[in-house]
Amino acid sequence: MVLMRSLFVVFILLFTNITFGKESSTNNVLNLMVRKKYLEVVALVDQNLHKKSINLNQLSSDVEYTETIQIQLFYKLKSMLLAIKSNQLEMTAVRLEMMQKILEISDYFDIDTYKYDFYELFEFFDVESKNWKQSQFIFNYFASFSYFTWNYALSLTDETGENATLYSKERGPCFGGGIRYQNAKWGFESGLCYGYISATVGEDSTNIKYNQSKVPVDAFISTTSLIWKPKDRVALKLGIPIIHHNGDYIPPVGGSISDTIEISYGYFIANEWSFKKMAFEVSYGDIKNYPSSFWSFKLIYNL
Amino acid sequence: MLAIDMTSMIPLSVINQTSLTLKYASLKRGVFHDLQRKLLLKYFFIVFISLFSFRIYSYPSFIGHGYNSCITCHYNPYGNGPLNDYGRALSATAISDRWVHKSSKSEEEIAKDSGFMYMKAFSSWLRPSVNYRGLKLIRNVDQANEESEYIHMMANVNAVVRFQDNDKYIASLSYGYAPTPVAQKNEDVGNYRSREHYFGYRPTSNLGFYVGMMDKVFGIRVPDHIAFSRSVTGLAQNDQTHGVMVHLVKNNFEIGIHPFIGNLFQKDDLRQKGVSSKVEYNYSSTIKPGFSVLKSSSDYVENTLVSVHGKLGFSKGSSALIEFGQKSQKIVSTKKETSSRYFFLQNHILLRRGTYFLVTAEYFRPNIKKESETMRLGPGLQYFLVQGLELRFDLYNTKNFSPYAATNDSWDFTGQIHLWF
Repeated sequence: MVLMRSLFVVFILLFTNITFGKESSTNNVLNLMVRKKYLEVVALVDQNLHKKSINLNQLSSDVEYTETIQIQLFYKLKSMLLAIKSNQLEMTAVRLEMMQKILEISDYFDIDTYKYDFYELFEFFDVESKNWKQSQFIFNYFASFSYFTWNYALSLTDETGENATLYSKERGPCFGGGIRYQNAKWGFESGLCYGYISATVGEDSTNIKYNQSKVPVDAFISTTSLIWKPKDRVALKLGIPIIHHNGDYIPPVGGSISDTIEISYGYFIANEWSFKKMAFEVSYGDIKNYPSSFWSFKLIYNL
Repeated sequence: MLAIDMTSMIPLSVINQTSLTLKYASLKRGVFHDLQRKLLLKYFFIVFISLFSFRIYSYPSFIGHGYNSCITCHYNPYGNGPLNDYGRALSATAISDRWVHKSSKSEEEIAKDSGFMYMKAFSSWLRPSVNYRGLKLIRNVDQANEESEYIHMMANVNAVVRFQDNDKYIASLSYGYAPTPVAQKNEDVGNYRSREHYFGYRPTSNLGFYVGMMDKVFGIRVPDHIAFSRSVTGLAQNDQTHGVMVHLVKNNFEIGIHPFIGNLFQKDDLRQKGVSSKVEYNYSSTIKPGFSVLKSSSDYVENTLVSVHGKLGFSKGSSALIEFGQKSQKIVSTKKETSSRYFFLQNHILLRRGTYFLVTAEYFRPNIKKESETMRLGPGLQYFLVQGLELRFDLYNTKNFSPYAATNDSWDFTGQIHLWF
């Protein structure tokens, strides 16, 4: 009767926790129960052999494990997974490898009654290992080829001393690369490219007539951005571009053009979608003192 | 008690998880029927939602959800116009947000209640619906010449008659309001007209014949009718034609051939008569490249169009649509020919169920022999609030490039409301 009542209390506790979404607390309770069972099984095994059996470097499918050790490894694995899920244990590369090894060698176990349980643990492990791997930040380098366009503003003074603003419509390719530090959800990116750009210049004034096309412009474009990945192969970015601009404009006879060299900064948003090692990014932003938006279409190759 | 050969214990290399997966896959097959039952329940749900009466508007970007063929959701195998039952259920359960529904309401119940006027099907042979699209357009945003107007883009009543439950024989009719084009502002062009009407016959699921007035088969049929791929090609919302369309699916190829005789409501000399065709290849459920050709002529103008396109799905729900094409137009009287080129790129990123962030990038060169070009880029937000209500906001930044002038950019904003019941 006492046993039945205890079981009933445990059932109600688990049911309540699951119903109200307190999954972590539920896992704690389950983990306590599993650990208790694990310790019971371990008590049946010679302690030296027990230590060897859970030694990462000695776990092997070539070893013939007794039924008790097999059961012990089952409870070891289950206990670890529950503890990790309920944040009592931190997932590490070593623990991940150990759990993988136990699962691999379990394929050769002859405890038929645990086969399904091992399968469930595999699915459990699969989720936990994926979550862990996705949370790990890694560095990677990339090469990029982009196509930029913006409007640039210049100051023109003609031979009479009249001043006017010139629009320089500029676009062209940019070659470069960069580095990323990211996990499956968030990241940080920094890149630099050199652009050999062509500009068409015209006046924004009725008093002055000036036009020049195919003006060579050198530009160094540095971008730093924060990455958010709502899905695994698509990303949204918010970043800061810094542009060093140097245009080889020809001033009118007797006049001058100023502001041809400038360093400016701004902001951009970008979206990116990737396919294997390749990615494509479209950026859209604004640069201080530039009389237009800033666009870029970037092809990225992850090294 | 233990029979561990310690000498045979060697350090294992890092285990490949794929091999583990394969080992457990064999375990799955052999022992556990309950997993199969779960899968059966999933398939049952798909069959279940296909049994109800629905109508929906779906877009090519839904390739991101794994739907790479328009006929999955539409009666017309190339999309637009009335859609079939499956599509509506899909919209209600996978595309639209579900915040108006109680959390306890199952997806099956949501699907069941998403028919005409949120009702269950009242007839097995008739699929009625109404459809409205309105647009708030602000031109030259934040400029001295800013203009703003609200345009009723479309207000249609639609009916599809199903002569058999399996949609082997159908008749589709859409009739409604269309705004007067800006170029014909002072003319009486008639604002109420048939948008499409056709009979469809599908002897098999892989072959269909459609006779009547419908959109021409060409390129990617995006809803953005201001896109260069639709506006300069003569494939916009009011460019339907009478003709016969054949649709064939074979060996992963999807082929459409559409001979047409022009819009019979137009004067005879204005009608563009010709043929168009589109060929697409299902490389996978999320990769579908293709190409299109169109040749047509009237007493005044001859048109030749070619394009290549690709529909790509990324992750669950996200996509990219790409189309590159050229149009050659010859004036019959002067024999003068002009060729133009366009490029269209649009990607959708699924932020959460019902909400997409999108970017549209376009390029247009009105005459390939001249250097003037136009580029348009803009971010947008698309929100399917609930089945039957779509909101979309786009900002368009247009740049004109010419070797003779450096003009400032222009900015336009559009806000759309799309209702369908």
